[in-house]
Amino acid sequence: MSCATSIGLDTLLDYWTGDLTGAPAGAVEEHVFGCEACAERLGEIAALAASVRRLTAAGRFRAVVAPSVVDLLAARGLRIRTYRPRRGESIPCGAAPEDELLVGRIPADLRGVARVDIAFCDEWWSERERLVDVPFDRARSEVVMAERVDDPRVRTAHVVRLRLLSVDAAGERELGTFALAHDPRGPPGTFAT
Amino acid sequence: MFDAPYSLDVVEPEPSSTPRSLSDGGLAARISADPGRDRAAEGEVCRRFAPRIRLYGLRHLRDDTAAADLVQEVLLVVLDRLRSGALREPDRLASFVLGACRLAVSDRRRGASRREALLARYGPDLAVGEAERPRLDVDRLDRCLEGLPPRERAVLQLTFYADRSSDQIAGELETTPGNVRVVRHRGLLHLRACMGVEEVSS
Repeated sequence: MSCATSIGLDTLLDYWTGDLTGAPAGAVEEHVFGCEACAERLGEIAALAASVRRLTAAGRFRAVVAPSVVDLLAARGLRIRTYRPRRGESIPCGAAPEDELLVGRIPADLRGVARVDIAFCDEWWSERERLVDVPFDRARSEVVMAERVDDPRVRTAHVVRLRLLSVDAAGERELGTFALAHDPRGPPGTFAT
Repeated sequence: MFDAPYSLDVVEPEPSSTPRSLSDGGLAARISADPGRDRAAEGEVCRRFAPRIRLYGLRHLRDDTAAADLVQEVLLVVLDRLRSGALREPDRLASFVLGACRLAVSDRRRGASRREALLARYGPDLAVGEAERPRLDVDRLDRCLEGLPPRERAVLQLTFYADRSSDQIAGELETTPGNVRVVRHRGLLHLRACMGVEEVSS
């Protein structure tokens, strides 16, 4: 059984997230209960939402994350090893066997900044890849990056070099350069050299 | 060659309606016509409505187990009503199921439940189907999520993992609730496209 006029995905999503309340939400429910096709689409949203939740809870993601997500993961018991790279310096880092997520809290003066990009660079600091418009925490003056420990790169010696950039209509301005030197043997100080 | 001594009118047998092809009203009529015996029709009611009840439960109770319980509870109420032939408007079965969902969730919030009484009455005699759930390739979704623009991924994680409202996310990401909704919608479309889910046209 399908319906003549299906509900838009944006409306179903608003209903699912709770942005739609009261009579409009009731109308969506009435429709979904009478329409198998729309019920299936709502089911897809629910399945995607549940999977995003499970993957995030397991620390199965990388790159930049909203700081409150990392706070919540830590509060819920995910074992997180945190590094705080310093501007213009390279710091050693690595994962211990019990770690479930590596997090880098990158400090930056974010006053007046509208958009932050991260440029990943090679050993000559030439840009190789860019993350555009990443979330940042102005109050804590930091950008939070995560690296999942099951990433094969964590098990190899390599250096992550990145430039933090403020981008606006006038152009871009460097907020700092940072480097994290991954050691596959583990966190600094935990193995014999 | 020769005239047939009788005329033969071939009448195609009327195909018996399978429960799946019946309207909601047709299903209700079949169940009330033979209370408790038409398992195929009752099974179709479960197949048809269990996923929707589960979604309703997830949306309002935000808990897998509670949603599964709600499916059982509501289907018991619905089948009880159908068997007794007391459904006043059989064509509006879907509305009745929704009403039963609303009542059950309201009951739960008040700490009361009619479930035990109904379970005692029907017990294991009543086969309540497990709600069908869409199956996702989690590894593929993992890659798709990783491939999203950072802001879309952050909004989806804040929505579905951190259970943040649009207002809260807007505060954290220094944007407007309207923009959060736009970014979330875009992220969902990207995920669906990456997962190979085609949009159903209106």
